Amino acid sequence: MAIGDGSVIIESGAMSANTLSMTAIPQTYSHLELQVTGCYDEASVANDWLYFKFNGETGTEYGFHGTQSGVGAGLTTNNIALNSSTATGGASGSYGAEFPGTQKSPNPNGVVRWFIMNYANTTVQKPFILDYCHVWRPNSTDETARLGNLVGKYPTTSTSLLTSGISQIDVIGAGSYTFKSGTRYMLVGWP
Amino acid sequence: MTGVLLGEETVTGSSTYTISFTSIDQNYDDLMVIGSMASDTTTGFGATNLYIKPNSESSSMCMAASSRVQYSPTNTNMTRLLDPFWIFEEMLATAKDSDMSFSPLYIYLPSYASSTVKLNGTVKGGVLAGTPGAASSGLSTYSFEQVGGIVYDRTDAITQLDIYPSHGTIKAGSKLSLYGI
Repeated sequence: MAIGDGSVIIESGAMSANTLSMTAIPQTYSHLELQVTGCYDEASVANDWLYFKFNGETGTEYGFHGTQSGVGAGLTTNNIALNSSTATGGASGSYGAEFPGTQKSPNPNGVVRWFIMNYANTTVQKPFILDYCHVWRPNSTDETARLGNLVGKYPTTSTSLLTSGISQIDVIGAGSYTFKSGTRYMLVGWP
Repeated sequence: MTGVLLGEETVTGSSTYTISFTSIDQNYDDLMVIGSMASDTTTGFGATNLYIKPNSESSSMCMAASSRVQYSPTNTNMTRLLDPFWIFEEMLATAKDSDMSFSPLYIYLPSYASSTVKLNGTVKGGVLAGTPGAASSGLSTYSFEQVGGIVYDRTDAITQLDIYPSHGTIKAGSKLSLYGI
């Protein structure tokens, strides 16, 4: 990349199926930015986790830490400290951001924004900043909101995984959830 | 949001104290710095302070405040008034933690070229301290996440940014990029 080069949309589009795989990500940029906006197509869900994996890795290599604040059932004010598979409750690790369903609103708009730094290097960890939010309050008592600010790195403990840049990102809905029409994603390469 | 690369530095050696972006192009609305960075210090614990100095400032004109959460978790609100640079405590990973641990960094400076209003900006980052090869220590007490704001108590346009750790030199493998937005 050279001075004067502009950021480039690597790929973008609508999301509907439970899993979106972005494969063969070019290794020619300095940093990546991933944005996801929209909601789950689930009327029984106020919000649930949206998962992310790198390079199809299924081990517990997804360390992150940060804060989540919110309102709604089971959560008044909360700080979370999450690491590896603890965050997402499964044998296979992943990163997570909370994403809205349609229980509180027919058209909530969750926003996830994720900067993945120095993603193509093959010698050191790839650190990232992951922010997410959604707010919906249809009346004085029935509400949901989440605001998350996380930092993390990949891989967390494996030295052998350092030798690969990030060439694949999978975005996976919780359970078998699909995404409502209008949900979109965009992957940007920053030179 | 789209942006244009104005400057970048990848640290390859062991004696870089500062990443400097000089003669910053004044023809954009905002500035953004993103990248990964760490200190090579092996003293102290797994995190050290991040300093950001605008325009080679030598007087106490920089104020920073942030919400910082430490793994445990323990909340700490940080406020630094009027230093010659913006200070974010325990924002950077160090070689004390591991040779491959790096911190993410995000700096956003809107209206940076204005010479009539004082600069306000946003800084995000943190440390996820752990030891490679030891799964049980993937996250330690010395993990921090921060979201902060900064103010420059002058009405000068930003033409230079110097970014450096409080202790040690910048670790090889660090990479910062400056964009005009």
